[in-house]
Amino acid sequence: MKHAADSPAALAAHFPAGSAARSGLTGCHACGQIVRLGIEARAQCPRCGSSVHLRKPNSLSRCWAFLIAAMVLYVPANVLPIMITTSFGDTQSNTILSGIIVLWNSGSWDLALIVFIASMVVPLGKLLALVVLLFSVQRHPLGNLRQLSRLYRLVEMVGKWSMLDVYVVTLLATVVRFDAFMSVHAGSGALAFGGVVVLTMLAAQAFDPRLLWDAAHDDEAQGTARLKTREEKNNA
Amino acid sequence: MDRGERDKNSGDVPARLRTIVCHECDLLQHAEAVPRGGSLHCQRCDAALLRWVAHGLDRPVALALTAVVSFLLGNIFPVMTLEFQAQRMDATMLASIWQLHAQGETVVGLLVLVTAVLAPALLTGLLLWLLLPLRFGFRAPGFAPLFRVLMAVSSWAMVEVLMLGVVVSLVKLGHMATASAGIGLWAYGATMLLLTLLSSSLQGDVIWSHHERAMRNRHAQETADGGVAQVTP
Repeated sequence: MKHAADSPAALAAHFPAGSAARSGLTGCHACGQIVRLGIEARAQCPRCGSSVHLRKPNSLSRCWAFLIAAMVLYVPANVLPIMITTSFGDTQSNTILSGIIVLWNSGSWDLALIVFIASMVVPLGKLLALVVLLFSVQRHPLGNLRQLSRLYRLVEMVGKWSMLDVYVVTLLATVVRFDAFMSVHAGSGALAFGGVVVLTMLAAQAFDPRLLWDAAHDDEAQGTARLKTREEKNNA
Repeated sequence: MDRGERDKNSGDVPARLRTIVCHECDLLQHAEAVPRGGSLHCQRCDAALLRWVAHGLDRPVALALTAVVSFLLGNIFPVMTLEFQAQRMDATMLASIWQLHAQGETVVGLLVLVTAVLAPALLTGLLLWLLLPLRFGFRAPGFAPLFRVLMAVSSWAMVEVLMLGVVVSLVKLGHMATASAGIGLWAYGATMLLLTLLSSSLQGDVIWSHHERAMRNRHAQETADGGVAQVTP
């Protein structure tokens, strides 16, 4: 970071008023403890020992690296078969999409829809959302910051559901092993697809949502955290 | 014990403002005491900051202990079984992972091993390791490093996704053979429910507030026992 060598005062001035970083403070990402960072770019949380930073180090380049790798792997993940079924000497290869179509045609449209969302909508949506978030930090915000924060939380929450197809292949390959009649093998698409899931999760973890708000110098931001009571949450 | 009495015993956090930092937008703000069942949200970006935590450790410890047991059962028994022309095939999680390895998909096998077996095992085991000793007023060996391990693995445990995967597999097989859910599936389902109930105990700040409360109680106990200082409520 270019301002790492600056004095603490100059360092703090990079951050908007109202932010913890402006006061040289940061919250520990693991235990929430407030930690005062002097001129150090990093320190150890006095409570749980995690290393803390004002901002995740190299957040944007790490996020881009994972994201681009995920985009590259996304192609073989969808083109290569994830499951190879052999029954009575007849071999059939299914990609993610053709597997969904088979499920749809067999009459389980509801499950086909769930798999479609987990395997197609979520990974594509995640790639797109991370591009939107990175663009918002590096160029200008695409939408208001509250919505972008919500988008980030959504990306973090739904990411793991894409593992669905990997589990399905794993289980089918284990139980369908009747040599002469029928067997199921995992295809190399499963590896690429699993890679996409892991890489997009790493990309989301590398992204620092605080960077979204660093650009916004809204001086009115201060006050007391909003309380949601149990009743309010139930109504929501 | 009626509810009123229990409330009195657990005692709410004294109403005082403290400073907290939003982990998502870095806004410094004041936090008031969180009322029963409520939660605090960042006034700027709406991220969840703090939630109300029951004082007692009995419930989280009991849940964690049950989760460890149900997770073990989930890994001993098959999650699904397929019967086809008098042949029977069982799938336990570890056997499934071994099968992937045997088919040459070792990396996919490792991915399943980490997300469906190792991460949930660490999640339930470490939670029990950290909370059970606190329940009796002492700090588990390696508390801070193991706490960091717990936080690091928590996002990689995918028990609920595995559950859905078993359901999809059962439906896919239903057309060609007799597929049925095994005991392991129900045990994994129980683990999933228990982890959901434990989700507030899986927040970092919650574990440390339990820790601080336990250490404070022990300190108060020791000074009272030693007769050195009078403890005033």
